[in-house]
Amino acid sequence: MTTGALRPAADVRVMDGNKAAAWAVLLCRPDLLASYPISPQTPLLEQLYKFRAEGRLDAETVEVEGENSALSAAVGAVTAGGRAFTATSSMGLMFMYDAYLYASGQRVPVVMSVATREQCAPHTVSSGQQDIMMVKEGGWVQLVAESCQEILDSILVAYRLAEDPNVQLPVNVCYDGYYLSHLSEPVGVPTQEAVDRFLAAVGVGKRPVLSTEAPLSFGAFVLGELYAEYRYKHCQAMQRALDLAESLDGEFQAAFGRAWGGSIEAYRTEDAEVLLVGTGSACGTLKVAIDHLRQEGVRAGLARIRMFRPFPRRRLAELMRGRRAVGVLDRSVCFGWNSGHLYVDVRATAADLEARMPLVNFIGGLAGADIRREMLEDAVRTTVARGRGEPGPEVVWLGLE
Amino acid sequence: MNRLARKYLRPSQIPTKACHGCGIGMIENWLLQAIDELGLKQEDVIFGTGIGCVGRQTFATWGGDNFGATHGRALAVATGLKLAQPDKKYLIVVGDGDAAAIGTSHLIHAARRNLGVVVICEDNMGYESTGGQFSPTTPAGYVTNSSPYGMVEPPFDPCDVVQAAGATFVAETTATQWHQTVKIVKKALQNDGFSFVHVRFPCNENFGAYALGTRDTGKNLEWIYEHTQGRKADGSAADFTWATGIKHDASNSRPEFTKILRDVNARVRAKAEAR
Repeated sequence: MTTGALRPAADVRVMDGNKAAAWAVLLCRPDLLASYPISPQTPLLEQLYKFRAEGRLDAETVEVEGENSALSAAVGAVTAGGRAFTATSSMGLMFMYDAYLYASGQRVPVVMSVATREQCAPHTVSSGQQDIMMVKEGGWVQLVAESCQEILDSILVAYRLAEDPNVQLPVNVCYDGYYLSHLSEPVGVPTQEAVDRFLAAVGVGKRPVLSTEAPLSFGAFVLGELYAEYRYKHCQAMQRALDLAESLDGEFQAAFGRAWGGSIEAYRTEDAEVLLVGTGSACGTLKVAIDHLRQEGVRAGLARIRMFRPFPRRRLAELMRGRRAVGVLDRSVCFGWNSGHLYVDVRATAADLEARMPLVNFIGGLAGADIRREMLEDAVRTTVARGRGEPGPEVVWLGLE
Repeated sequence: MNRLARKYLRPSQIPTKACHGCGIGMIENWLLQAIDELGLKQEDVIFGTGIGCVGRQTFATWGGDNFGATHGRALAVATGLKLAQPDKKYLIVVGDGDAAAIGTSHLIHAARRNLGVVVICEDNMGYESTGGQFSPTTPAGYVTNSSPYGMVEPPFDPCDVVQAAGATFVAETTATQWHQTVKIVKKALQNDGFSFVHVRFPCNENFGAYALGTRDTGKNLEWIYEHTQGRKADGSAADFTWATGIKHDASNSRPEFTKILRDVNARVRAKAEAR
């Protein structure tokens, strides 16, 4: 069905996050899909196999003997000039780590979604964000979605960002395993023409690829200064990806009639005394908690990180400036800092501000544990209390203390 | 609970949590029978497994020491365990994904070294716990979740691979061959070297449903049985035949890996002391 003025260029269907990702990939016309099954991303690749079996997707599909081979095959296809896609979760992502670093170091613009999950040990297949946190410094761009619509939109953005000649970096599109991968929502599916127009700026012929006419070497062995040059240029490209993510939104709006939103979503921040920071689907509950508390006069707002790497430091610092306190919600654990991973980034960002404010970290939702609205309302109240000078632990484990 | 389960397994893990009609619980019972007939006690055997149907359904069932490794790595972990505790028996119970896909390099090198462990590869011919995708042991041409037009890749026989790599005991059996499986596992446990037992079993939920068009346990077992005979129930020829039985028995014919390492260490130490 079409929804008229609301989503002029989109067909709205009910689908889960894995399916939304599959629709986005279909519309981006990939040449190669490489896969190894792992929960909870498997239905995404099943849907792509289905599209191919129906004759809608003209791509080679290869089911390989492990995740490392899946990403490596995708890297090979992209290096040869194609557009490739793969997806994984948790230990699958860990098992492809050397290929993960190779892809970013060689600036291979592959797109991979991650239906995020906890890591073992102990063994679990439950939802969490630990897997993407384990690879966050791997030199990829990481986008984190809050809804099924945003999964679809982020994959379109991912190819546009990855293949941009000024960026040329691999991109992860991350979404909470089970909560988003298996939750159905209405999703606007854009037309093929709109996606083609959006991606017209990138694609084959617009970046260096292997060819017999003009031979190139990939994966060179380098030392010292040349190595430093690789790293310097990689860092510069990450920052250009951040800039492009902000400026792309106009292009996205023009193509699809709705915003993607850029690196951070600012929710009810205009008059907020305290700011919460989070990423992923738990932010949906956090928004409800904020709405609820605002009825009681608590002026809280949310900065939802949509682009986690490169980290949108300047924009977050602007949103943090002048708040009485900042609370950070993490669904992962940073062992080395005795806190969550996002909290470490927020603390580092706070150093950019002239005035310090109390910071507090809430860790919850590990291995699929519920983060209920009441827990988050308590978290907001705790943040408010810290802003008023009340003492308390820097890290609060939701549901554990 | 049956006598063997009570003797060897953790009561909290019984009955098996596997899907209805799955062969995993039944085969584990056969492994217990083999262990029992050899007079082995709980403390004599260390039980290891990986990820997937077989990994999840057998994990922590063993009443004695046991471990669950990451996908494919059970043999890599077992290599260290065997070096540290060479006198124990090691029963490494894994699936076709662990043994024949993501962990094949470990399988090949454990066989090459003649590591003293027994690998039971319980093969349901696909990645059934993630919805029934084809694996390297799915028969060519068969429809699975990820091969809607039939498996286009040729499969391989893990028995051939480990035998070529140097395994000293190699056998193949199926979930339709109770007594043969028990006899084979007993022989495998008596080899002081690398033993590999390949056991095909039915998955009603996925392989049965996709490839064979039925979730009926009897029909899926019958399909396996027909392929051990090369002949269908109606007398016509099956599309292929699995040769079951002991395929290679060179038990105790060459030194076990950890023994080689200990002997080398002893020689080096003796030489150093003599100097």
